Amino acid sequence: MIAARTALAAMAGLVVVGLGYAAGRWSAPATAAAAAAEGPRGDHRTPASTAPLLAPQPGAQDPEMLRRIVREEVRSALREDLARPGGPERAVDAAPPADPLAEAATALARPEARPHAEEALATLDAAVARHRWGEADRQRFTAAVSLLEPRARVEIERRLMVAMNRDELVLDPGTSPFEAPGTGR
Amino acid sequence: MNRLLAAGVVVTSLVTASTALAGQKGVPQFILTRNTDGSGSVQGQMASVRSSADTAGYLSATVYNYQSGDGDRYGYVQVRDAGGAYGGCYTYDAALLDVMARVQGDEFLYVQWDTYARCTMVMVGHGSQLAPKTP
Repeated sequence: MIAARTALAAMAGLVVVGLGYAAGRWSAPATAAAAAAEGPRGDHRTPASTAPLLAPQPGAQDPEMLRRIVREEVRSALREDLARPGGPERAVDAAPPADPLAEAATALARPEARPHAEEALATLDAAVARHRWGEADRQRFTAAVSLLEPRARVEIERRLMVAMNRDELVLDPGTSPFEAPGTGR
Repeated sequence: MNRLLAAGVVVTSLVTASTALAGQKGVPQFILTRNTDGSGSVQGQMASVRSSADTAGYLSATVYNYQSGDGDRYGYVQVRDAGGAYGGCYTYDAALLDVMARVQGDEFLYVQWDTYARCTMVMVGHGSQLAPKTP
């Protein structure tokens, strides 16, 4: 299943690459100077897909009619579920998976190392509250997580990465989340 | 196997592109895509990111191996563009780690991650049109 999903994702990637090529992203020919000028394109933030699930298709039935049918199917399924003895099991099954980050990363640390995990998380929480990640944060954070075993460290670092990815934290200029690239930890 | 197949298709497509114009030299754009839910992707080539005019951007893939046991092999990808936007992901997936560990300076890298900063796809492309990393 994982392999299949990955293959599908890879194909999606091929489309991206192909589109990139078609759009001239894979530009050619190019000189060394052009290569040097070819830099990052900035923050290409894109919104999550908002494409309607029932977008009109040529020859398809009336989209509004399809929506009504789907709504009625869903209502019917919910009614059956609620009427079943024992309650709405399906509703429970359909609940979103638990946030993996809600797992206490501190629990992954050895008992004697948990204060370091808590310090790292406190540093992260304080930075998120300020919406900034500066060099002092990085130093305190890396000093704390460096005392944890790998699994606990990764889970806490991943929390930091999630905050960065979601723009809950903004890096101060010249600051990296963990370390300067190429310098090691 | 599917990953290998996908990688093979990439290689084939890149080679096909290069044979259409012999001696072609390509410079893949460095593109960081960040969605509002925290998921995202990055594509770029190590060498071209390094040789870009700005001094802020970087793209890195790191794999850690520990002797101690299960769960102690992991890797992460970090990217920062010229504007300071950051993205990255972690993985424990053995297949993804194998791909990440093979990344070379002249290769094209495409990585996707989910809302929890977990890498969901890593693709490495090789092509004659890609320049090697230079100082």
